[in-house]
Amino acid sequence: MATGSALGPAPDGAGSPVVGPSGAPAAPAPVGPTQPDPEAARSTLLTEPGVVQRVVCAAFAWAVTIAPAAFSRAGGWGERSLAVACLGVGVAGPILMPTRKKIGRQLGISAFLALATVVWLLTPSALDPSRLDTVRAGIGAIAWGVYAFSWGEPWRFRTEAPQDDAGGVLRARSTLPPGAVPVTAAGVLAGLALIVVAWSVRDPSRALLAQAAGVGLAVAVVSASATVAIARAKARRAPVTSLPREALRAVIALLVVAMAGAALLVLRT
Amino acid sequence: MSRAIDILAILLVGVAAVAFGFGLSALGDSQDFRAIYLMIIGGLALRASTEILRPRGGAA
Repeated sequence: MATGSALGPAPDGAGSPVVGPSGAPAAPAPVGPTQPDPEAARSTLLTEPGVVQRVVCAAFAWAVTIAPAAFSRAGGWGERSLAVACLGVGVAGPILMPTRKKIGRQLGISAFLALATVVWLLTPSALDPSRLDTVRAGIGAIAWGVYAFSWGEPWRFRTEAPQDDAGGVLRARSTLPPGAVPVTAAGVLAGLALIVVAWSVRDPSRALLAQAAGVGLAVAVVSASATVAIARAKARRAPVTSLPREALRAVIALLVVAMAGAALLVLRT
Repeated sequence: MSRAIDILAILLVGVAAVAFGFGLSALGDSQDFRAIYLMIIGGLALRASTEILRPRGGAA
């Protein structure tokens, strides 16, 4: 990844090609040990895979969940200083990762999480459920999820996988049916919507149950939509003329329970 | 026929998601009977959607 300094123009004009007496480019003169350019080193550091994504994700999680608590009325100077230190280690950890991996991980993960926890413990009134905004809480949960993913495998936009010339091209045994991705994406969106609905339950005695149910139902919807999206290809292998008996039973059970429940609801009201 | 079954399966997943959403909303409004009813409907709709597209035993 150190191509930035290698391709950049040299300050003394050595970047222009040296032409020999015959007009052909002369061989480059042997160069001794050079001092690393700090500017180039900095740019190289930022192009290391994972550095920028971790810095951005830590700053995002900090801005959504830590800063509002520390810089609210509930936080004093101590809490604010700790919050700033938290941001500092969250940024310093990823930057140190390419050169000092162990220290970088300890700062970027352990120290960042520890300081965030301390800030939250010191500002309990800012995190009171009655004051918690649903949308901000949801964004905060996503921000911490993204932060956790950012410390996994770095996102690489360019893969440099070794190519095996001896082996043939591996082909997938089957392809996804048309519309599989939109169906699964719709299932994921529906699952997220269910979690948002569960978060909007304000009654404290039911909120926990609703959130637990929301997570379980979201998982069920996502997995069912994925199953439906993929199973359509398997079902194509044989001509379908009617519904299978089990499916017919399930549909009839659905209709019977729906009508009976609706009638009971009407009678109760 | 195959296309109709595909659409029915996708529709049932949508019905399940909507039923679950209204069920959660009813749970928050302290309407327990309605919440349980809607969640059972959602569960049955999900089961029906996957059963419809399950490959038949004889075809394997």
